[in-house]
Amino acid sequence: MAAPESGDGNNGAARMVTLISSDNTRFEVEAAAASLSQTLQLTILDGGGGGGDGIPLPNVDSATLSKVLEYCIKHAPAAANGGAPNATAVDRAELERFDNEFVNIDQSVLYSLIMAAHNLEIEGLQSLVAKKVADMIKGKSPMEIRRTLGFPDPTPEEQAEMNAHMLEYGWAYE
Amino acid sequence: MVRAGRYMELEAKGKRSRASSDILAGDRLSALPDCIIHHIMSFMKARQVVQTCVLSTRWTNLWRSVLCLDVDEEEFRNQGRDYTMDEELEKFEDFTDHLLIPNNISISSLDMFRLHVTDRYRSGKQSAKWIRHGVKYSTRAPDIQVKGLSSNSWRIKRLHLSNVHLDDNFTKHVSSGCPYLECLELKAPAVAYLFLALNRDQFEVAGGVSIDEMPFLVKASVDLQGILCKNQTKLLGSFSNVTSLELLRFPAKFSNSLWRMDGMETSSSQGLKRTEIIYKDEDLRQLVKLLSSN
Repeated sequence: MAAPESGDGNNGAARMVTLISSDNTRFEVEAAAASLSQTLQLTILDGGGGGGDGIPLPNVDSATLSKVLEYCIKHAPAAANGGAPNATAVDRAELERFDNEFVNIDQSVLYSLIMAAHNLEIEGLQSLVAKKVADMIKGKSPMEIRRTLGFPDPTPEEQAEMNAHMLEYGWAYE
Repeated sequence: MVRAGRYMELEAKGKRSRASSDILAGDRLSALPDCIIHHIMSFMKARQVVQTCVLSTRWTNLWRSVLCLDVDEEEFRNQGRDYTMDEELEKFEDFTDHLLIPNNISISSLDMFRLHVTDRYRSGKQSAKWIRHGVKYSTRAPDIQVKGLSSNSWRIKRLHLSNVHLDDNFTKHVSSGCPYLECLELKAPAVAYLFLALNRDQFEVAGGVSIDEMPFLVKASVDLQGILCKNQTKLLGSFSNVTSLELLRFPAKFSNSLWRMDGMETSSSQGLKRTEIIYKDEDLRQLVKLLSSN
């Protein structure tokens, strides 16, 4: 049983792994960053993803994957510090700024992201996007939520159903 | 002709995909699995969570199966109309009454429950009742079957109660009914994270608050509010399993009186030696005294 060759040869250099999106784009990324994904971590610990192999991700397209990896690369150093107890206030503020900007994107991208984060089990990213979506809903009436979240305008039947609902659940409305 | 045809085809495709990203954002959200939508809901307050039921048929019952619930009296403030304070509180009470009937949401099936009321809600009697009923009816709700857990206990892991008036029954119910509780936060006046902060009246319920029947509780935080009474020391004495104990607002004479109190002198001292104590007060000397006497 030989030890996995990839990674052993290049002393000092970070070990790289290759991820393959559903549309067959290959992404080479540091193992430490990819390991933010609980799902990938196991494969990577097993020595997978190195060399010419690559880890196929049939549920994640390249646009989403590149966004996911952007997050992972940014958060990898802090994660390596075990949640970064040593991180300075500046580092934390920088991460926070990054996070805020990171989710300032089109809704459909948000939903692809949260789905990918869920499949790849990237806890921080799941919460970041979930909170962003919750913030878009906060303090809005159902009609405002529909508009903000891009629900189609209700048909007359749907509107009648909505009204009936609001009557039934009057205790949750004004 | 070929060129034009190809061009049009491309344009049509482009249009289709643009249109789908515009119109269907809501549908894309609705298409997410329940667990993701519930995760999103865990960042919202309870009333807003329930209000999502009118978004579409997909959402009608999603709120009933949340695992985290955050009921906050402040969500009922300043609703844009000229409600008096009493009317707002009435709405809050009415909402929570409805929300926590077992056919809607049973506290016993939650992982996390937060109930936050402010000083405005003085009558407050309801809040303890909501919790007690949650325990009482957890065995009777036929719909709620949690695999692998006995049906007469809560699965709840995190319980955060702010300003909730606790009566005699509370302790008994919660300590005997929540074997999986990892985090108990009871707070009176607003403080920070994972708290047990009760005023003198609240402490002087029969027997006080004791957590020794919650073997999984590892983190606790106590706001002593500058006072010390027998029940508080009894409470501290029951923290033998916690590995992180945060103590706030020590009374000035704490260390002098501490060791004369019955509760603290029992088995607890041993447990406390393994405890990480976070002390947030100006007067560090009190902590030094406490540690040296231990």
